[in-house]
Amino acid sequence: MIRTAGLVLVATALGCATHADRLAEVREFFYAGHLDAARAVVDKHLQRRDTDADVLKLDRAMIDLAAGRPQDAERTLREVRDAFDHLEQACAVEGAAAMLTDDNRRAYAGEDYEKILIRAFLALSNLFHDGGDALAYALQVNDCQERIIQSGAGPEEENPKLSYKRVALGAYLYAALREETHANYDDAARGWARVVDWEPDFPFGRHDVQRAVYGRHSQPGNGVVYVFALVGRGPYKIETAELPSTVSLLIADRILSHTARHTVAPTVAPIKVPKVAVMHNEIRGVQVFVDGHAAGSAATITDVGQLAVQQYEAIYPQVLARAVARRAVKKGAFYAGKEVLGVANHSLVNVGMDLAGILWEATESADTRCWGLLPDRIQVLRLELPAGQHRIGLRPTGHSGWLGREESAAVTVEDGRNTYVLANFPTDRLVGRILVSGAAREPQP
Amino acid sequence: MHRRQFLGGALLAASGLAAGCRGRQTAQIKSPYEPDMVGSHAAGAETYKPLVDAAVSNLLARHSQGIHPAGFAEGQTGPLRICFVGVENRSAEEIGDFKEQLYQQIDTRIVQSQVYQPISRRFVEAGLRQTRYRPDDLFIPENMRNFSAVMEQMGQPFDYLLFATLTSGTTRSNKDYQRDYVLTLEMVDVRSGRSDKESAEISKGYNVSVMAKLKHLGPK
Repeated sequence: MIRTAGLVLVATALGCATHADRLAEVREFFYAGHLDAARAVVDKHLQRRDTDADVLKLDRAMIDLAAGRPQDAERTLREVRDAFDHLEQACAVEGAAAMLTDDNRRAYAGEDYEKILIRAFLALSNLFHDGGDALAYALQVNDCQERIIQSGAGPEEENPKLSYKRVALGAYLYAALREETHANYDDAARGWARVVDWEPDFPFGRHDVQRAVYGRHSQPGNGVVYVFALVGRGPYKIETAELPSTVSLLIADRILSHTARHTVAPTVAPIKVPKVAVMHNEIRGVQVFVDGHAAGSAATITDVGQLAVQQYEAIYPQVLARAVARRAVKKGAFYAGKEVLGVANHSLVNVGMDLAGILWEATESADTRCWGLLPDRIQVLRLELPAGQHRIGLRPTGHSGWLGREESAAVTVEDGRNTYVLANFPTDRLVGRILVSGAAREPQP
Repeated sequence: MHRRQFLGGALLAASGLAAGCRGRQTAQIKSPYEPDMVGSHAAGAETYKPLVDAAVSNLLARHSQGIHPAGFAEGQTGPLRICFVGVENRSAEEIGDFKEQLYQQIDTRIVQSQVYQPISRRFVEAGLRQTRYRPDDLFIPENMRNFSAVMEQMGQPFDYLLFATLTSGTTRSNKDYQRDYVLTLEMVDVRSGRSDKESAEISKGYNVSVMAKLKHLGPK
């Protein structure tokens, strides 16, 4: 038994590093504000690995966005969106390979929340360099989540995805863009009504609906600034041992070994499954200043951490079922081998085959591939300001007041138009730079 | 042999490949004579295209027959200058990217008619932005006069405001339902304030129950 345990330990140690291991270094650099170093690590892994290339590209897009390269970010996000759409189709060959090894053998098609957020970040990225496709991306956010939910089950099955929390950011962006036309207040009202419906805790939603139904975009001589803040360190996946299922399987294979013609390799190696981990974030939000005066605090329009946990919990039984089925297939394969070879229960060959079975099971790794540089929350504040130059300041806040220092950027507000500002505060300090729409046309100080 | 065996093997391999591999999405250009796809959960091209065609044709037909909208100034020569404000969706459905297309389709049909001469949408939006009027504010006579004056300052005077409104009505029969879509084009004379309307309607049935699906099986 000691030898068996030792073998399992060796096998586990020999197992490949998971994506979570590779991601740790990227996150560390990113949160410390070392964007070039984070990008270098991502590029290094991209050259070496193929199986998690798409999620690494997503992380690279976040680095580009924070660094003020929204066009690069958009290009990468679009590439991954199309790749995920293609990989959504089931592949029997990969499915069979995953049954014999682990889920890392499958091409990663993205978690549902990732697919939706890719469209949301496409819209945001586009706003900061061109803006021409932002409306289309915003519509895609809603289309994508509807499609995902509808495809959650067949007609007679229970659909676990019906409980999914919806992402309100797409509807919000759509409404903001339609309101700016001054001719499509009906669309804006519908968009904001959806925001109220999907994100009832968003404090500005009802006021936005009222304005779209009865008011106007802005008073003559004023324009509107939308301040978006990416707040906190977002969710990622970690490898966990699913002990209750492991113990149940161990009991089952012990019973089978005593009653069947041949023994079954004992479930010594724990069943490994990925879990979504949410970090504790000191930062709670961002306070916005205009020309040195406090103008309000951004409010959460999409709680990414909560969304990831909730959506993953809904599909977790399927993930676990796949892991247990894989074990059953592996045990079954050895059992069939013993049957074919006529291996006696107390022979050395039997012991060897059981050890090989344990080793085979121990080499499994949980599939921890994920978009690792997402924020914990996406927040927004809408400000109506007189047309002209303003200085927008952003200061992170925690449970008991300000956390870090204020960062600011010059913003040109146009009469009757929208201007967008985006900042990344994973911790109490700004990462990268504050992005301002239209800034490419006007020099930043 | 072995031909039968060979064919069987080939078929088996092909079906194996089909089941085991991901296929690339494909697309094709639809011929103008092919029918549009029919939206299973909401209206789509199959509904909106004929709605626009019918509503605009009705409006144009009246003018080509010498019936003028209310307030038409006798002796006026040349096409009527139309300020098409926009399409308002008051139906029960999100129309998403169709809204812009509806606007452009109506606008294009009006341009091609040569009965009307629409103002460029860029000017219309600039006028609304400058005055900060909502489209529905323009029904107030004073607002309409102010808006008209702003458009004149931009060198874009007009005779009529045109509003398009999409509405729907739903009739339910257990799980199945029928939805009637109406596109209304409303013209308002900026001088007299009198309005004139034309509309088109399409009814569509949505089949949820098995019986309704069976009843409507086959090409439509």
